[in-house]
Amino acid sequence: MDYPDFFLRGISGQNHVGDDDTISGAVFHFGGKDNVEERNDDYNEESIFWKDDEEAITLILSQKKVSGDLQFKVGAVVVNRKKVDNVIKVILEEEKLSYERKPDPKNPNNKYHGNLLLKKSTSNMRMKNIAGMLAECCDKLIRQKKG
Amino acid sequence: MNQEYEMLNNRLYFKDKDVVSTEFNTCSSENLEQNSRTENKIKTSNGIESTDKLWFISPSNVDVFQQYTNLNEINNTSVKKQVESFLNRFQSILSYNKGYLTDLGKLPPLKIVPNVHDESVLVEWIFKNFRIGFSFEKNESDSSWYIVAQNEINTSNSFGKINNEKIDGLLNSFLIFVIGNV
Repeated sequence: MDYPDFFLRGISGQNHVGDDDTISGAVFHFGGKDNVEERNDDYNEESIFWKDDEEAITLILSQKKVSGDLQFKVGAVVVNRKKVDNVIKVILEEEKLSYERKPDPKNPNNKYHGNLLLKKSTSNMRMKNIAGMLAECCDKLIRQKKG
Repeated sequence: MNQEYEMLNNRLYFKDKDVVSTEFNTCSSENLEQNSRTENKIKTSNGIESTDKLWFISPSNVDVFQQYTNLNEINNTSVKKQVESFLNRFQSILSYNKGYLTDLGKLPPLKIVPNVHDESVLVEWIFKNFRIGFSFEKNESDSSWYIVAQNEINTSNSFGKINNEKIDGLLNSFLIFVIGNV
């Protein structure tokens, strides 16, 4: 499957970004509370939006929770897929990291939706290390407009 | 532990005895210039002060602690203790080696992010092309570190568990890396 060169990862925590737009590795931690539905394969997943076009940015920034509040209060970060591919090469031997394009069951019309995938067998230490590597793959932070 | 970290160790030249005291909560005053330190409480992002003593470096670019998160937000006692001890060690080593650091321009602040899901705390020192991370876990033996460098062509990565008995050497290695790569 062909993938665009970039994907987006939404950011909700104010402390996940610095004043200088640095991105915490915590943005890419797997196994957070959003992972409510277990996959029936060997992977944990974290949602991403594939940046097929600019509409993907509009959509992720406007995504709302059931409560009506913005899902990603801080904004979204643009992640360079080629850099992620380099990360995958580093850990290829264990085949622990991957990605996919897959509709969100809660919003099946979202054609941009996909997942980062990490093998469930990955140790917590390794997961946090990989999250740090993924954070280094970020090219640009897009903040929500104030007001 | 992979080759890159061994390489870092090969470049290590700080002497442990010169770097820090063995006490966690205070660093040796012999290793600090009298006019360059003040004893402050931890200033937090919301203005609340932690009760824990840390030696702070007054001047400018070596102060990487200006964006402290509120350590009182760390609920897990074990994690909080680890973070406080780590920050003391780190502060002490930075302080002693500030002569090597003052020419580097303003160093980025430490970024401290509590994880409500697993009660861990992530401490990162994020530079333009690399980052150094420390993850402090509920079970202290699971706490870990990493150093990651990334560009369009490749990724360099090292990681391992935090061994408190060797934390000074690890921090010195990272400091050498920072000095050589900023």
